[in-house]
Amino acid sequence: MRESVMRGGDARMSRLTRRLAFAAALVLLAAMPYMLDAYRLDLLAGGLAYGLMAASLAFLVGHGGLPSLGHAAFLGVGAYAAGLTAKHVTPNVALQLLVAIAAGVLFALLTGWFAVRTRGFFFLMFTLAIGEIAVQAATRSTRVTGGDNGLADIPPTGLDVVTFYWWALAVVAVGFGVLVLLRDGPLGRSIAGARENEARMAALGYHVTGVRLAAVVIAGAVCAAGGALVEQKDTFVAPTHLEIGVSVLLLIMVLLGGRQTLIGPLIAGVGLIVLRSVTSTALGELWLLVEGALFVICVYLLPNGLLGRRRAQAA
Amino acid sequence: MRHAVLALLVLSVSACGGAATQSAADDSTIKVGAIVSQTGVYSALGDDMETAMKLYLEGHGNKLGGKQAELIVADDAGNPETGQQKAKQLTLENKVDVITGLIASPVAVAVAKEAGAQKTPVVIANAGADALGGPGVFRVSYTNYMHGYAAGKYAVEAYGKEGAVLMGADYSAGTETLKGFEDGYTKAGGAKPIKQILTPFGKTQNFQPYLSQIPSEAKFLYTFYAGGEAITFAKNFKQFGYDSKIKLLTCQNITDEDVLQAIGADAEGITSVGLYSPALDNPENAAFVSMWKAKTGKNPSVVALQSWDAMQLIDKAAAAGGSLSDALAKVGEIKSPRGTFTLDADKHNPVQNWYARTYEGGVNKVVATIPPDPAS
Amino acid sequence: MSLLVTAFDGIAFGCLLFVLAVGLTMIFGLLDVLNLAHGALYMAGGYLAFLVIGEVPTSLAVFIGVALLAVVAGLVLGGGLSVAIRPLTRRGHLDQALLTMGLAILLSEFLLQVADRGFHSLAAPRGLDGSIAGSYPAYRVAVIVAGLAIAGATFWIFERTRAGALVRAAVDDPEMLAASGVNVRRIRLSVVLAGCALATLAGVLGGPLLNLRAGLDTEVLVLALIVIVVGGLASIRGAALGALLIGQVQTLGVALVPELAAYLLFAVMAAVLLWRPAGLFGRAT
Repeated sequence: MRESVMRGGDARMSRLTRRLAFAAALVLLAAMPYMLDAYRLDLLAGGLAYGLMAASLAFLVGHGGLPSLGHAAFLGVGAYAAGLTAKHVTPNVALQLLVAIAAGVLFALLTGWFAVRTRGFFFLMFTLAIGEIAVQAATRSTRVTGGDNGLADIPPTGLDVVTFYWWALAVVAVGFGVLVLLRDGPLGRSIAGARENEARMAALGYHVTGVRLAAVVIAGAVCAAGGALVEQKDTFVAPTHLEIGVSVLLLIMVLLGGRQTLIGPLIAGVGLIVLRSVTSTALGELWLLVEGALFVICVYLLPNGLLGRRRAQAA
Repeated sequence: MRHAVLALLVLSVSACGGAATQSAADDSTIKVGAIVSQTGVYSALGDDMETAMKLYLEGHGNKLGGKQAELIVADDAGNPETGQQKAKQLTLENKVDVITGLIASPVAVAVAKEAGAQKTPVVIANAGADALGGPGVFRVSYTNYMHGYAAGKYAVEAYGKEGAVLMGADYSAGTETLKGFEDGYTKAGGAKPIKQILTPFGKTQNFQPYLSQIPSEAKFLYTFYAGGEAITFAKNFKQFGYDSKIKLLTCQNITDEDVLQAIGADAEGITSVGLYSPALDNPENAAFVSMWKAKTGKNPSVVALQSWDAMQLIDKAAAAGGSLSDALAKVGEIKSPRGTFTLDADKHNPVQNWYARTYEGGVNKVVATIPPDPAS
Repeated sequence: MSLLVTAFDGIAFGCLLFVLAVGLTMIFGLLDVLNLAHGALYMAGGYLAFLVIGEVPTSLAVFIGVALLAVVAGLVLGGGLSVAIRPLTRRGHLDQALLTMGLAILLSEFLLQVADRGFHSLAAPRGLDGSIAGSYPAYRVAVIVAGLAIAGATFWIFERTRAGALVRAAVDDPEMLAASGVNVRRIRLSVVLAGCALATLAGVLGGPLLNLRAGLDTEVLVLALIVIVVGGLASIRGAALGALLIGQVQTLGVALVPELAAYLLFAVMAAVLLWRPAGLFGRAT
C-alpha cells in the first residue's frame, strides 16, 4: 500500500543498514570535539539544533502534509521557556529542556487546535499569522521577556563548550530518534493516512482533526527542544528568534533536505548553518546571493531534496 | 551509507571553514573586529559604518596607536543570533583585540555579553539601548535616554512648558527616547506630556491614522523615527498638512543624511535635536566633512561620524599601550568632529553637547547648543 | 471628520494593495504557481524608476513614461519567470516556493548592488506632489484613480473579452480547451507576463508611499499574500475585496484600536481563516 512507499529513501534501505549508519554518524559526531576548535564546535552545536528543528518541521510538512510558515514560534517558545527557567528557577539544563518541551506542547495545543482546521496554503498563512503574533507578544511583554533587546541576563549554563556540545548532540539524537519512532509507529501511520486521504480515514473511524493536531504537537515539542538548545548555547534569546525569516529558513532546510525524509532536513539544517558562516566570512554581503543561487540550483538538480527519492506516484 | 557519507561531507566543510583566518596575535599589530549589517534592513547604515572605518584607517596610514591595523568586517544581518556567532568567531578564531560596529541594540546586547565572556573590549558605534555600557563596554554614540533628554530640555525653552505630545516607534529605542524626553522636559519645568502615541515598529507604512490621534489642545509634537519610517513620517506629516497645525521637534534620525534625500522638499524646516551636524564649525569637522565628501559625494551621516570616532577612540587607547580594556577607559578628551567629548567613568557613555538643528537649504543648521546634563 | 479622512486613506492604500496583489492571485489561479518573487518584482519596478528619475519630482508625463518602462521590465522578468518555472509544473507549491524564493533573493540583492543599500523614495510627479486643501496628499487621490482604472480594466478583460473567457476556460478545463485547438501554453504565458507587469507597475505606483530600501521585497510580499489569502486565492474579485479590507484594517482599524495595532493585521487574517477556512471568496475544497 501507499504507506510503504511514502517514506521514500528510508524505506528502501534495510532497517539494519539504517541503524548502522545512524550509529556510525553518531560516533563520528561524538568525536568532533577532538577534531574541531571551540568556535567550530559551537557552530556545529547550533547547526545540530537547527537540524533537529528542521527535522521536526519535516515531520509536519512532509509526513503530516501540513506546511507551516510559523515554526519559529516553537523555537521561540522553547528558547524563552528554557531561558526563563534558567533565570528564575534552576541552572539544571535537563530541567530547562523539560520545561521547554512542556511549553512547546502547550503552545502546540493552543494554536494547533485552530490551525488544523485550515488546509494547504491557508494552513501556511494561518501559521504565519500565529508566528507573527508570537513575535509581537514576545516583543511587547517587556517585563517577562526583556522586549526587543532580548532576554540578556540568563546565567551561564556552567558547561564548557565540549560538554555542551555533547549535551546538544544527545538531545538532537534522542529528539530525532523520537521523531523516527513516532513516524514509523501506529500514530505516524494514521498521520500519513490523514495526509493522503482524509475522507477515507474519517470513514475508518479516525478523528482526523485530532490526528492532525497530534502531528502539530509532536513537531512543536521537538522544535521547542531545539529552541532550548539554541538558548542554552548562547544564553540569549530575542524576538528575532521567532521571526518569519527563521520560519522560512527552517522550511528551506526541509525542502533542500527532502521533505519525505527526516534525516535529509537534519543534514540540510547543519549544512546551511555552516555554509552561511563560511560564505559570509569569505564573501561579505555577497553570501546572500550565493544562498539564493543555491536554492535555485537545488530545485533543478535535486528535485526531491538532498536525500528524498520520488514518492512513487503518490499523486 | 549515503547518509553517513553526506554527514561526513558536511562535517568536513565545517572543519575547513574559516581555516585561513587564523593567525597568532602579536604585539606589532592590532586587530579590530567590526560587526556591522552588510545585509538586512540595517544595511544602509552598515555601508556608512564600514566606509567611515576604512576611511579613518586610510587617513592614518592604516595604523592604530602606531601599530599596523587589521580591520575584519563581519555581517550580523541585523540579527542578534548571527551577531553573537560572529563575536565568537572574531574572538575565538581571529583573536581580535577589540570589537566595534554594532548598529541594532539587540545585536549589541548579545555581542557585549559574548565579548564580556571572552574578555574582549567592545566599542559601540551606534546602538543606543540604555542598559548597555559598563566594564569592557564603551560607547561613542549615545544612549536613547540622553538623546530624548536633551530634546526635552531644549523643548521647554523653545516650544513652551506645556502641550507636549510624544510619538514614536513602539520598540525599545522609541520608548527609551520618549522616556528621556519626558524626563528632560518635566525636570526643566515642563508639564507632563498630554499624550503618547506609539506605532508598530517596522510595520507602519502610513502614519495618517496615528497623526489623527493628536489632541487638538496639543502645542507641539516630539517624535522618534529612524530609517524608512523616518522618511514616511516626515512626508506624511507635511502632506497631511500637520505642519500648519502643530509645531514639530524630532530626534536626529528624521533629518539624518541617510534619509534626507529620500524625504526631499518635505524635510525643509524640520528642527531636530542631535549630537552632530555637518555644518558644525570646528577644524576636525571641516577635515572630516571634506574627506567624506571626496569619498562619497554626500554629507556624513551620524553613523559615519560615530564610526569615525570609534576608530579614533581605539587609536588613542592603543597608543597608550598596556591592556586595551584599561586604556579605553582612560582616553580622556576626544577631539571629534561633533566637538570635544569624554566618556563617563562608570558606564563609559559619551558626555557630549547636543545640538538643535534646523534643516534649511540642504543642511542641518545649528540653532542652539545643549550642554551635557549630569542628571541624564 | 478625521475618521472619514482615515477611511478614505484606507481606500487609497487598498487600491495600491490591489495592484500589488492581483498579479499574484492571477498567476496562482491559472498556473497554480505560488510566486514568492512577487515582492522582489514590486521592488524591481520601484528601483528601476529610482535609477531612471532619481528622487526629485518629475512631470506627470515622465512619471507615466517610467511606469510604462516598469511594465516592460515586468514583462521581461515575467518571461524569465515562466521559463524558470516550466520544469516545475507538476512539482507542487513548495518546490515552486523554494525556486521563486531563490529568484527573489537574487533579484532583490542584484537591485541593491546596482543602486545601493541606502534609503530611497520616489517623489510624486509635479502637480500631484502637493496637498488638497492643505490636508490630503494629491498623489493618494491619483493612486485611487489609477487603482480603480487598473481594477476596471482587469475586470473588463476577464469578464467581457474573448481573451478573458479563454483564460477562465483555461482555469476550469485546460484539456478541453486544448482539444478545441486553443494554445493553452500561450494563455498561461500571457497571464504570467501580465501578473509580473502588474507587480512592477505597483512598484512605481507605491514608490512615493512605501519608499525603497533593503527588506522591502519581503514586507510587500507578506502584505500581498495576506490580501489574496483573505480574499480566498485565485479570484480577482477576492483580491479586490481583500485589498480593500486590509487597506481599512491598516488605517481605520489601527485608528480605532491603536493599542492592538501591532497585532491587528495578522489577527484579522487569522480570524477570517477561522470563520471561512478558504478565505472570503474561496471555494471550499
